[in-house]
Amino acid sequence: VALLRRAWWRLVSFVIPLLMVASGFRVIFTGKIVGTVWLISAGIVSHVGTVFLRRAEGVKFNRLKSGELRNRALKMADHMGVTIGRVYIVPAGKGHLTNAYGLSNAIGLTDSLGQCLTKTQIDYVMAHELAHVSLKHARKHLLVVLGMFFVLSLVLFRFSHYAMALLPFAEIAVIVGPLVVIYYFSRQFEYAADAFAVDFTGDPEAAIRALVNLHKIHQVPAQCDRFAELFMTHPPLARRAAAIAKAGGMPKERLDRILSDEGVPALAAQ
Amino acid sequence: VCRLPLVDYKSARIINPGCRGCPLTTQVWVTLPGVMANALGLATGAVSANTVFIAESILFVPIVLTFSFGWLVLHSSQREQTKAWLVWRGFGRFVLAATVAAWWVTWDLDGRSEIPATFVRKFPGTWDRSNAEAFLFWLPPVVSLGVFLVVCYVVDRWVLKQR
Repeated sequence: VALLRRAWWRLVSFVIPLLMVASGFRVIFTGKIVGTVWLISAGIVSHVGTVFLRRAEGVKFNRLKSGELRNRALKMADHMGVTIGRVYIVPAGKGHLTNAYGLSNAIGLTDSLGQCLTKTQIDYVMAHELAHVSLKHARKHLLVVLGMFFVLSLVLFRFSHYAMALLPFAEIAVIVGPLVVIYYFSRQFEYAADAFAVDFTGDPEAAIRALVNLHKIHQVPAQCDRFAELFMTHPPLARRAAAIAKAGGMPKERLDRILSDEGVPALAAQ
Repeated sequence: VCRLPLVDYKSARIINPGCRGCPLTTQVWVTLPGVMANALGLATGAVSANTVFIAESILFVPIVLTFSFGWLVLHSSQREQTKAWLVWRGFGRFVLAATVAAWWVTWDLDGRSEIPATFVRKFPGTWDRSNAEAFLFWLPPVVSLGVFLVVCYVVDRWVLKQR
């Protein structure tokens, strides 16, 4: 039942909105701007689906009212000039979650982070999530999505003759293109948050070690090809570690040594 | 001002051939949709002969690939299992998006008329043509990709030890 629930909410958060986008653009291709109603509905359905998908995956945000972690997060937020209302702790639960979340004015950390990361590494993770809040990435993400679909609708409405002539290509482009753009911006936000966090903590080594540890827990490959990366919300470890080292002014030899220490020799060799 | 030609996509011909006397670049630009429509018309002809088969294939490909990949992964060494499976899982969003895009293309090439007609022929009296058309655009990809996701989550359980 849990699997079926997860599959259902994944469909609601991703597949059904894509079909709604297809229906919307099909109307726009015929020169009717009313197709945008489908696009707006797709956005709403996707958002609701994502909320329920998180619940189905066992992500529960429990507000911390006291404790060392909360005090540390609030103090760090204060130093970074970020106003956050709440700090959440998320039980690792059945899905063995080890993650952190940056919300619009709050951050969330899974309770399993302490078992695999050191204190300085957790500080980096908190700084990274606070950077998302500080740089208003949630709002920017929404603006990117809205702006892109607005421009796309307008262009296709204006040039619907060409869209009709190039229909199969236009259809593939309006389904795959927006996703590629959204994920590109998502990865850029991750790089920006990494740079911001490293600038604040001044400890690129802790940042790289934290990321390597998280990748080891999730058993995510350190590298992936360019095509697979197009559909990823986070950059692969290899590129992210290199970007952090660059942002923190760390020499390449030092980066290679850290990666070798952490048992990622293939990456170090590359 | 030169009006763009109207293209009858199904028959792949330009209804209004456009603008004699316009500059060459404008003529090229204006006839481009017609040229593309002609090329696509040929493709449509090839697809329409086997629309239902192509549509079914599109919906089965993700499931068959996942089963095959899952089987291979589960029969490989313990050390390689996770890595290999996560490579496939990395393409999850692409598979979902590509399937929806391919389904939509097939539907608009000739599926809109062929698929409901085949359905109504196979199950007479269940749905009328217009209801079948609305229903069949949504249900098959949702079911197919739902099965794909369930298979992925089941293999996740075995390989990634997720409960």
